Amino acid sequence: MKKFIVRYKYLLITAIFGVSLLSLSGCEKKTYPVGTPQNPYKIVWYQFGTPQKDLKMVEKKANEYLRKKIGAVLDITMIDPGEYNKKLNIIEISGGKFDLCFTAAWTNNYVRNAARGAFYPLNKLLDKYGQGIKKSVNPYFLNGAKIDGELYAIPTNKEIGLQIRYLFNDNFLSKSGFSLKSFKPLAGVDTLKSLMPYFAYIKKNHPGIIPFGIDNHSSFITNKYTFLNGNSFFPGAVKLEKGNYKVVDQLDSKTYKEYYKVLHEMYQKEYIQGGAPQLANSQSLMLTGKTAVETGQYQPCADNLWSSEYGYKVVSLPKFKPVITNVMVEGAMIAISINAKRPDIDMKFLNLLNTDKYLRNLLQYGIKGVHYKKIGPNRIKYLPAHKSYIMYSFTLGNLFNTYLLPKDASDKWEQFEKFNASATPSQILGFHFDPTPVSSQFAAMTNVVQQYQSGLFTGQMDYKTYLPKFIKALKDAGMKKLLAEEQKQLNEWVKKHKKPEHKADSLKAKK
Amino acid sequence: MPFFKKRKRLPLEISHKANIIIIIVLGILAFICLYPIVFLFMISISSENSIILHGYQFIPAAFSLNAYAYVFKIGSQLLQSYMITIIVTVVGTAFSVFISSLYAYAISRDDFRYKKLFVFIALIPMLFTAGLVPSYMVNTQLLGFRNSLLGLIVPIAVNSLYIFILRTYFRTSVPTALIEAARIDGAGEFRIFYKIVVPLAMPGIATVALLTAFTYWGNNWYNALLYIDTPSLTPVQAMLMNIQNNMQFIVQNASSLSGQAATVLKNMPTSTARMAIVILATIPIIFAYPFFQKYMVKGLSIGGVKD
Repeated sequence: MKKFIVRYKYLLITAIFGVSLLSLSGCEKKTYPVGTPQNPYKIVWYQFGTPQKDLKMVEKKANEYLRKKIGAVLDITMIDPGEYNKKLNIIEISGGKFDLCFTAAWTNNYVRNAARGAFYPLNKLLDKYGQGIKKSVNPYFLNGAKIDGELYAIPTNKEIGLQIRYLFNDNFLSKSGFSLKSFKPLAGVDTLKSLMPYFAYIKKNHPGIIPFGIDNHSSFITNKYTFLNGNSFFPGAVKLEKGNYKVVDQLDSKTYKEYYKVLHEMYQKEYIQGGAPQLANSQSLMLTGKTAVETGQYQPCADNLWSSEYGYKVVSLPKFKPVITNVMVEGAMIAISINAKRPDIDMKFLNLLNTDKYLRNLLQYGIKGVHYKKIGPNRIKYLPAHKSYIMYSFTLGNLFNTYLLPKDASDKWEQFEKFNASATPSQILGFHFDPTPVSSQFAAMTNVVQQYQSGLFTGQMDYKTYLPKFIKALKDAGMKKLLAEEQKQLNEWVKKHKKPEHKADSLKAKK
Repeated sequence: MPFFKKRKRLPLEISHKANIIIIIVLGILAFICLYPIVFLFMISISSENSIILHGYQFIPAAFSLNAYAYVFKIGSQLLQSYMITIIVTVVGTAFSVFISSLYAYAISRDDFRYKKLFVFIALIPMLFTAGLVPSYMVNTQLLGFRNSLLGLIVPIAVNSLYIFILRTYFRTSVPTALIEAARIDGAGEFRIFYKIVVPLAMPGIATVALLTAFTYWGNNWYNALLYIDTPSLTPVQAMLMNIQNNMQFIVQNASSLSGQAATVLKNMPTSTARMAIVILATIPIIFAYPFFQKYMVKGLSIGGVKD
């Protein structure tokens, strides 16, 4: 034996090394038990957000509760925001087994995934197990997110209207002799024009302060149109009027021209910072406190939020009335995977998540006494351990059931309800343009838009010379074909969706 | 001028003028290589405010060591990631060199019957790739590499190019006569390989090992992105990539994040801190060079004399 070992020493080394490596990679097998408290079903959930230290701790606590209530336990994997889209995409394409995932118009795209069959159709499940969701979630969410009449994900109940506001740094506004009343609210481009004297004042009296700090895209959202591609710079929009279904190129419209003009004038007068065309997001600018006015997307009580985030008092002026569009409806949702073993239990869980206050707050804020402490019946304060458990609130269902924080207004959620009620739905809410038939035109035009967007929409380029060039480049890239395809799909959609089951009022009105 | 004292030139020595020119050219090259790293370092020691106001500067308007202070504050995560990177690099390099040299040795021997077949097999991945999704499916569903260090080691362990480099090296630096002599002296195949072939081919193996180590150290973030979800298994480079991607994503989608973006952004490392992490992530691999250098020089000189 010894001789053997000596003789084949090197063969043995090789064999042992090789075998040990192979054996390490043995794969494990899992069997999913049925959903009872003794034998709970494991809900595998891909969650959007940076992995949190205390997640397992909170998960354990939630599992105790869920096991009793619906015979399920959670297995949450958090994925960093910057990688969420890529990772989920691979998991979905490769047929990965999971139950729930976060989806939206802006990451892990809802429409694309629903179209390629990655998500479980929910209409029947919702009727059977989701009565609580039907009651608690705004019907505009549930109906607006339907694709050809079928719902594929449960939207988070939150602010539904899109409203852009001008944010004023109160340090400058309060001493200037101007007040919010000096400006014209809710008037679109006229609101911006009404700010001009204030910009001039800042320019004159506060050298080194940027009168209007913007980045290269967000300054330009208007409520005059609904954008078929979810992007206000991309050709293809329908004017926001009841019963109007005509697709137009909004970039060449009167509204847009007025904006180009005002912005260019502001740029020339140096009201807009010189680096605007390169700036991807104005947030970093705002954090420096060196801007007098910025823009931001509003949600009720946002003034408090902004003030605490930027470190100075912020007051805001609405640019237009809130509108409900696809992008807003699909702002944050949770979908059930087509590969889920027990979608019924998943739906039961989602129903609970959207209605059960204990569960919702547990997943949002962590464990009472560890991550937060209660300072009122519906109000909490963070404890230092909160740092190890920070979750995005919109990824966890119904916002209206969450506790308030010390600085929140006590009627915060009533304000949300009011805001949502005041929003007007777009007449084409729920229409999803599918760009596949014109994908090459779409890609070519995307390049063109990128080339001109940052210059035109920050006022750096003069629209008189550059707009015709822009339009011509778009036409060369196939804009006509794209608009025609959009119109065709929209016409089909209009024909199909005048059924009474669709609740969007504007559609009924049209009929 | 004591440095340029005139002395008699040796017969093969480079002339004084040529020497100066060579030094200048090499100096410029060295400068081009060094500049980015020095620049990176300068950014990492500038103050955050000067970057917001003036952009990146070679000589910053204001210095600050806050970035390094921040990095040491988040130390535990960084240390953990460091350990992972080191483990993956060491184990991965050993494993990779082990497999590649065995494979290369077999196909370098003319008396190996299936040589052609195995050359062909090694050639396939050089010409075709299966693509992301199939390899992802195999690695996660068949091999179970999800959240396992094997997912960082195995997928990039074998590189056909290195197999061919090694094969060529074995062929040129190990004479067949030597192998035959060993056989006559009674050595088995494995003894021949470990006692004769490996020592002779050490320079070639070391070169491949160095290249592999670089890949494992610096270029492994993509596998981490695919297969690793837990922060405790994330290598340094992937951690950096995470931070960078998150910043970018949050900045671009701020409006969709319903006002929570600024809070998150505030907790992110500043650009100076990121540069500091880059510096800390690059430095160790620089020290791998001297370790391998003697072999590389040897490898070059042997290759030069031999034909």
